Amino acid sequence: MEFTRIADSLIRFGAEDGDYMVTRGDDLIVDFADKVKAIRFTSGYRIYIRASVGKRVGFYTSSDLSREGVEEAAKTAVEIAKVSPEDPYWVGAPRGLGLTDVEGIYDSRLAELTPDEAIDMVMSAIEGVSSRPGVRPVRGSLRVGVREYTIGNLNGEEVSRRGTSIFIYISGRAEEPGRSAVYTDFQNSRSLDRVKPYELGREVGLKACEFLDAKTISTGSYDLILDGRVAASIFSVMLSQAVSADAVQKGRSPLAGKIGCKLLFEDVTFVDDGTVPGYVGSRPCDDEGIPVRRNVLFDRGVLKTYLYDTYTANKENRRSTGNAYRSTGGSTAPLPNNLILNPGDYTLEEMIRDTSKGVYALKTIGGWLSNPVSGFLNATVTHGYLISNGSIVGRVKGAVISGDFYQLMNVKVVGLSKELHESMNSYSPHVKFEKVQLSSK
Amino acid sequence: MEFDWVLEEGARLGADYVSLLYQETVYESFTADNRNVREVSRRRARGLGIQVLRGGGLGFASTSMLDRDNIQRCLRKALATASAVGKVSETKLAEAEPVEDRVVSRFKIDPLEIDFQDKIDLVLEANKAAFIDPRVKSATTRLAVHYDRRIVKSTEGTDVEVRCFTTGLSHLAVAYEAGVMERVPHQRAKVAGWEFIEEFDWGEFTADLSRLACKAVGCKTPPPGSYTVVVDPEIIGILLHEAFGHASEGDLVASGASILKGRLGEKVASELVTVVDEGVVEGGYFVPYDDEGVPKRRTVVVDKGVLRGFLTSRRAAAELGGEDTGNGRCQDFQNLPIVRQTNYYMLPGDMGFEELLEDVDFGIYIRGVGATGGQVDTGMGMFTFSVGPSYMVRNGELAEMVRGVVISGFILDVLKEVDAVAEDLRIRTSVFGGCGKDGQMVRVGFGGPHIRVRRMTVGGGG
Repeated sequence: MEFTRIADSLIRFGAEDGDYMVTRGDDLIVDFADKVKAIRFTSGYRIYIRASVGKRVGFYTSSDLSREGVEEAAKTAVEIAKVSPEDPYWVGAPRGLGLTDVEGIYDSRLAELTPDEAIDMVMSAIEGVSSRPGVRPVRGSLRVGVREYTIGNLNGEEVSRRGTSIFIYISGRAEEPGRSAVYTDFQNSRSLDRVKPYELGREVGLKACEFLDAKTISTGSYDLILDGRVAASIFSVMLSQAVSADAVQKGRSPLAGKIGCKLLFEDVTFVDDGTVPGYVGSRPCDDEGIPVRRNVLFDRGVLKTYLYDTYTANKENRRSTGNAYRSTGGSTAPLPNNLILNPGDYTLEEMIRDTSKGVYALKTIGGWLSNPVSGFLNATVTHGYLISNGSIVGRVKGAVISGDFYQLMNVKVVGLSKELHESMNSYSPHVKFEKVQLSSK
Repeated sequence: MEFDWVLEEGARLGADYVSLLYQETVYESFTADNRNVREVSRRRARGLGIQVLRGGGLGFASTSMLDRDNIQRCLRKALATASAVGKVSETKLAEAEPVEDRVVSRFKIDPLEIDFQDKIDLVLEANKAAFIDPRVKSATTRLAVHYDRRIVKSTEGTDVEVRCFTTGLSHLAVAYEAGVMERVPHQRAKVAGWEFIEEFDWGEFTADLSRLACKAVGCKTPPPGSYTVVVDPEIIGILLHEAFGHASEGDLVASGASILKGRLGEKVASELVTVVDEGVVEGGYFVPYDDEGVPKRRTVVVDKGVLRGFLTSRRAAAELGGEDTGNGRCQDFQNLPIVRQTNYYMLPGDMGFEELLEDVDFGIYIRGVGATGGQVDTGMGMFTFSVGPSYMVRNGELAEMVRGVVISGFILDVLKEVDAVAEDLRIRTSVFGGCGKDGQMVRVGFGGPHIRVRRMTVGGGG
């Protein structure tokens, strides 16, 4: 895709600087429960324009890529810029566009997947769940996406990137007289061969049965093992904004002014890395066309850097870290490409064996309701295991984890497991904490 | 827009049923951050979604490229997917009376006609008004205007157009004191034109939120445990929507993903509780027809504590065997309608707010201003919400403010514990967000009166 005509239009309407991003998205989606319900094909473009006149900046986004649509978009963006107040921090649109070599993010088999092949995958997942007597699939979706991005500026630079993704989730319900349980799990990948629908379904079936006898626990202090996926999702909520220079500069991050401070446990090293082959957030360049790279956020507990896009970097007279994401409105803000907590030395079995009274939290809801500004963490365990004297002795539901995230990550972490688990573009090992307050009914 | 040819072409190519959703939407957003205008943006989208039934299979395709060739390609894709689905499963749609109608939400002044400059000035002034105290470290104010036009047409003869304007302002106040940071987000929005923005004192609105953030930042959190709680209309609205509303959505009931499956006629709440879903109601979002062109009237879900009905779309109604309640809604032309709530709320009772407090020796009055949202697991029947700065209740009276309050519980327990319902009723909607399900966001309204719940888990901290 080449869209330098957008730059031409912008200049013609009076823009002095600016940039644009055009995305093309094609999705194939299968909705299902115990049978296939529908298939959807969606396809469309979106144009994001940022235009400036002096220090006045305007944004416009549109889905209309026709000649008239592009003209209107360029004209309106410049009109908005002209009436906007001057932004003292606006220096200019990004320069020096380029691409990092990133592997495993485009799979032509996914791009060419047919409806019949997608249905076969879904049927495998359904069979997997149903392989367990007494369990049936109650909800699920398979989504295959192909994205092409073209990013350019008024300086004549233009770069393109593309990627594929596949996401499948399925919920299974186990039912016995007087009791029922539902378990949901997902797989997420950039390539077809890493998705195993039958195995996913089978695991969902097993877990749904297992949690039929889940019980509430009494309020109190427990050692807590967060499953890697739960931990990854919590880290994404608590840190993605906090390490963003946008939040830091606006006085909205608890990490403001703390570069060089030891804030987390010494075994805790967080990195942002958009170059890891096949990871969900990996991409050759960010949404401003700046090549992505590896950024060490916390090195053995010490805060090393925030993440920057061009605008926030210009404010501090430094360079973008390649982390720009474009909002639906058209402006950019920095966020992690892939947020990764480096793994430790333990196995999950060792973590459980060393626990005298604890909970292993397998699934939670509400983690996103935590407060990344105050650092207050909240999540409700929907599926967990009760641990007593080194063994799993029962299933747990409905326990609320709450507390100060930074305190938990500093003085309560006692171990990290050897392997990484994912929640969207966040990756974490299993993490064990000691003496965490859990509340229940 | 003339798309009748698509219906005819679909039928000619072998579709048993074709339905179109044409959508045009404009969203303007004006953001001021710490006394500066940060973003002025306008986004526009239009496109067509085509739904077909062929050989029992349901297929769908959408496009934002509206020339005849692209629409033709889109139709063929929808037919191809329908054929693929038809090989493995059959989809039925409940009967629906074809309707022809054109409806526009109530407004006096078209908000898209107002100059950008006026909108920029308004949001900047409202933002500046928030800096009333040195403890206010950050303030973000956003003004938004949304225009949504939808036309539904089908081979059955339905031809419905709904146009709706929504306007509103949101604000985030962040206060800092003695190493503690507290954020208080809130918004006010209405299905209305620019007159809603003009009639309100937004400077006072943002200053109030600053006062609340400054007060809350110095407060403690309540010890975790089980409390009697008095719940304000905003929280009961979101609680009902998340904890009960989703579980009453017919598609989740039919597939077994809801804890309410098989419970029609059962007592699921205290007899003080009546819950309805209604398409057009003061303060709520505007859904006179759903995205299948079916009228959305009042649906009684819980009547005096007894579960009486589920919300349905044409597909869910066919699966459940009941009538279509007009709840088939989609985020946009790129999605198929699924069962969604419209304005889901609890009917008021007859008590005064003070009477609700009177019987509480020790409890919490939980409030919605500053709440950040909620989540539910409809299968396990669990919910959790983060609420705004709230008050302890001691000996029947409001006592000190508390912050960082999180409530959590089991859907089927909580409404049974309601032992008092006040006479006030407030319903709200939003122009900034909505409700998410299966990757689709739709605007909703929710609310209710003040209520009292005898026992609820509260996890506080931080």
